[in-house]
Amino acid sequence: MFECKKALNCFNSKHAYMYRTGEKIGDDIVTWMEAICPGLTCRRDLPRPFFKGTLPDGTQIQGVLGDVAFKVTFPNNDPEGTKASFEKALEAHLAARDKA
Amino acid sequence: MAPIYLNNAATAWPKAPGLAETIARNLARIPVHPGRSGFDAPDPERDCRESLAALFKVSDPDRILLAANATHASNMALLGIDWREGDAVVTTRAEHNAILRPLYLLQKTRGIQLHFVDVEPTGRVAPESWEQALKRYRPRLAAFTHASNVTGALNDAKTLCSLAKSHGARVLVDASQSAGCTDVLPDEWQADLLVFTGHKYLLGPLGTGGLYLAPGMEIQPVLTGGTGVLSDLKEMPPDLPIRFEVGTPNSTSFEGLAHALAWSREHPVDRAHQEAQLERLVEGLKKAGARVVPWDGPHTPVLSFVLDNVPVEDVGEMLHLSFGIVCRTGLHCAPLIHEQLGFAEGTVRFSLSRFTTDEEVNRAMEAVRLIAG
Repeated sequence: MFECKKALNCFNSKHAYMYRTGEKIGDDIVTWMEAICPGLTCRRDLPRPFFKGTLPDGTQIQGVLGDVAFKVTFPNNDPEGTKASFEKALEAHLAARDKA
Repeated sequence: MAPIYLNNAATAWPKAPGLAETIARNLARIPVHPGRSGFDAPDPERDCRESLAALFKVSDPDRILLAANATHASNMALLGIDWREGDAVVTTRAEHNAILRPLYLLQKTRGIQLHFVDVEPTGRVAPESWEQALKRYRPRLAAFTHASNVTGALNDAKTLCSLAKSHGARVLVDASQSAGCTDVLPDEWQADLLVFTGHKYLLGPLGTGGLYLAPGMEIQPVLTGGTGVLSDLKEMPPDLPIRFEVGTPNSTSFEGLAHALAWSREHPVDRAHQEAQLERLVEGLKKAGARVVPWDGPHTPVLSFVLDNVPVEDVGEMLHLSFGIVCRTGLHCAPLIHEQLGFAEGTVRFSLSRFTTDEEVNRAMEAVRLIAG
């Protein structure tokens, strides 16, 4: 349903991953993100809007509308647990979307 | 809109015109070993060494040891010294991990003592601080970068080498960021070891770099193995450069580098224009609300900044994904300078090249202005 790849950067402590669902990121997935991440902001003043938000468990989601992937950074205190929880929610969203 | 490439301090792009064709020609040619194929066989390594010797104004091309990159070369240099436990090394907080990590390894495995000299807010090493450390620690080796890969600040290499020599130290200079930008003159500076890379401002392909070993400086080979000639010896052959060049050489890429060096010789950088672009960019970024790492004095076409209201990594992603501007964010493999200058989360780095246009500079400034809000 989705592909996940570790996103590396300069900091050893970061647990960041790129997610690709096989479709360009559109308003539908951002709407879903807004539902699980109430504070999500979207910079629509940029040429390609940039969205970013933090889930209640500390997981951060960010990306650009129209791109094929988005980045998720999991908190250092429970990276495995929050990753599993996020992926379960993403799977449920994609399944519901496909069913619709 | 066409993408903009402002990451030339990582690797130059575009490369020297004609480089791709040169590499393609090399790959299409029947491979020969120049040392075993008569007078007229192509010898890319020799051509490259001669061009580099001319660039560095050194008399013996054979003292230029070709390597895969500057990191490979710095390992050849630093791990090749016959260290004694307790030997002191003075270096700077502006160093790249290409220098730092081999030194940390030597600290752990050979018991060397490492001492770091703070840099000025521009990232430059003050000769006074350098001399103070040399006096205090009496190092066996002093190692410094000619130019900071974070701030672009060029060090006064001649003075820093001279001070180190006057205190009895051997000197290693990392010219990875400066070769191709400004004069790199190891013999004039009295540097004992100088590492460089071919794929940055020398406009060559990836997989090229090297070490200049000054006359009188002795190191041991770190790698041993086949050399294609003198195969009946049990040890590496004694002569330079073959003593240090092990395995099948990357002739394809070195032919490319030789081409890039020739092209650059014929097409010198318009430094006045580049300087004007950089000054305009610094001013534009400041007006956009960016905090530019203090930037003055001699420098390469590199600068770093942060936006106080947007995380460094987000700025980089917005520039890339939203504006098509490729730059580098983070610590740039130089963690100590960020720590010292108070940029723990890293910086956004713009690094221009001779091919950067005024329009691209304008677009970069406008993008940062929009991101800053």
